[in-house]
Amino acid sequence: MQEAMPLLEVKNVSRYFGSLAAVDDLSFEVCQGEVFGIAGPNGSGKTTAINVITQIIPPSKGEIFFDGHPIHRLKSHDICHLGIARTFQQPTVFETMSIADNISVGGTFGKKGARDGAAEAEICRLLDFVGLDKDPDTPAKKLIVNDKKKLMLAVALATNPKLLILDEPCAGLTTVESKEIINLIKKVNDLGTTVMLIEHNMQVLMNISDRVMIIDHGTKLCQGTPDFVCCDARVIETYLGRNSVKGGKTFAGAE
Amino acid sequence: MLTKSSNKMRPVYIVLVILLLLVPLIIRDDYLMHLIIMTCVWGIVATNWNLTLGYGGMFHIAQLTFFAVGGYASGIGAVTFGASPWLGLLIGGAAAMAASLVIGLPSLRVKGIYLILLTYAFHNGVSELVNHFRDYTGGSMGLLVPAFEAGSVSFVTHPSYYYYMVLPLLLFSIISTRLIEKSFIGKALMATRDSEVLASVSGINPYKYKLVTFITAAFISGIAGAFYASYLGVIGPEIFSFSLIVNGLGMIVIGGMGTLFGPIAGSFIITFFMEVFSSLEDFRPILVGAVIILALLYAPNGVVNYLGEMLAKIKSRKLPGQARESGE
Repeated sequence: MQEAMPLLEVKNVSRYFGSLAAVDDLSFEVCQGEVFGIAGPNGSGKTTAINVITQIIPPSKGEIFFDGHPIHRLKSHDICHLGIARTFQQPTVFETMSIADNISVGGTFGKKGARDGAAEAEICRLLDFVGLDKDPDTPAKKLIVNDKKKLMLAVALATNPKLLILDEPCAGLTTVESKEIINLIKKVNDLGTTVMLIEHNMQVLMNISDRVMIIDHGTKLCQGTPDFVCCDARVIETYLGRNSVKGGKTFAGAE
Repeated sequence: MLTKSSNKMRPVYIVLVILLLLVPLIIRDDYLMHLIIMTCVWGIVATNWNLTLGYGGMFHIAQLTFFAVGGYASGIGAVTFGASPWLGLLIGGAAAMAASLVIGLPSLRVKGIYLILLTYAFHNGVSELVNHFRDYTGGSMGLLVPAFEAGSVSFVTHPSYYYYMVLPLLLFSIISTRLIEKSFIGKALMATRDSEVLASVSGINPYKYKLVTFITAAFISGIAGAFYASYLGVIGPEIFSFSLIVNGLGMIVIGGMGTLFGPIAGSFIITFFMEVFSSLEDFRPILVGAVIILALLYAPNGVVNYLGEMLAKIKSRKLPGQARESGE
């Protein structure tokens, strides 16, 4: 997996808020076809890092390349056109629009110059894919949290991304709902879409990620395979805690 | 999958348009005709304001600036350069478009309270310009604008002629709003209103779509301003008054923000009450304000939405009765 071509390259990126460095000289690569997990304590700069990649907030310094293109000076919509889609920690949908119209936005504007919108069959296919069994004319504001998360994912997938960035997709969900989302992420990845996800639930992260990066104070603490990361002394000290390693078993082996 | 209600409603719209065309034949009273014409004028302004505010979520007060710019531009065109009021309509629209670029390019990069403040600053700025160039604008006295003429016939003695001018403009405003709403521009606009961040990461350039709509709405409001100036025969600095801003926003909110017919219902209600309270002079804005507050208390989503909800309730009550009748 590590020998695959890097799809996303983040080089020495920093983001300052006044004197606070939310992301501090961060560098990493996401390879084509992998599931790349990011974890770290609260306030470690995970969400800021993906906000910088998707240009919701511009980086203070550093360079970001996607598929060979420099994207650190582009706008969010241009980055989407290149093939990066994302979801948010809070379920964010177009509340006053119907489920179908939400997905149609992704299909209509996801590619540069595309104006046809997602066809009815494509909307149904995506709803079926994410497991959202609702009338497409239902207003998005009437959905429960789990369904909104699925719809948010469907909107992102409608843009036909090469890289899907997920910000805590299981946050606020029950165990059953989380499993549903995990299976969905696996399905997306199996179809060839590279996935980068932030997740607090280490069991989730370790089980579906090919590689994991741990961030603390905006900088990279450790990066590697789930087994490697879980055994790293600094990760155990600052994030996982000593109780995470019992009898040689780590999160990676947990079900 | 998507709504087919517009097709079902088509016969209703056609009947409505025919009835509107017959209005001057039914109403012979000049004063009533004047009220209807003014309702149409404010309906045009409110409909176009609603396009940016209701559908686009841009909280601004520039629509009245465009209306005033259109009125003054056509007036100056007629008085200073001898342009006919007919050409003044185009001059008004073009001037308002130019103003929308000057105001929109910097202002639409911000939102919320900042957008309101910026557009209010521009509104006051244009008002100051009008006061400064009093040789052209008439300053505090206002500018006398010639009436529309067709050959040797002046429209002044024929209110119905004005009505047949303003009605197509109102219908054009409604149709263009509907077309924009149903197009990819409307989709981008409403998505941006709901979540600008999600819209951006879904491939929408919010600034571009906001600006396009802002300019379109300005053009039509500018034409309405030119019509207004020529219809009343005068345009003065009171067009920049704060009470007009409150009335304009009141029309949209009372009628129903983000609805097609809400602003027209709102302009009808506000124009009606403005006339009812006309003898009370200084107290009029207070009473109109009270009407707005009452409407917001009892129909917070607007009269059109309120009526829609009532209709839906009546329909849902009828259904069990129908079921009983059929023996179920």
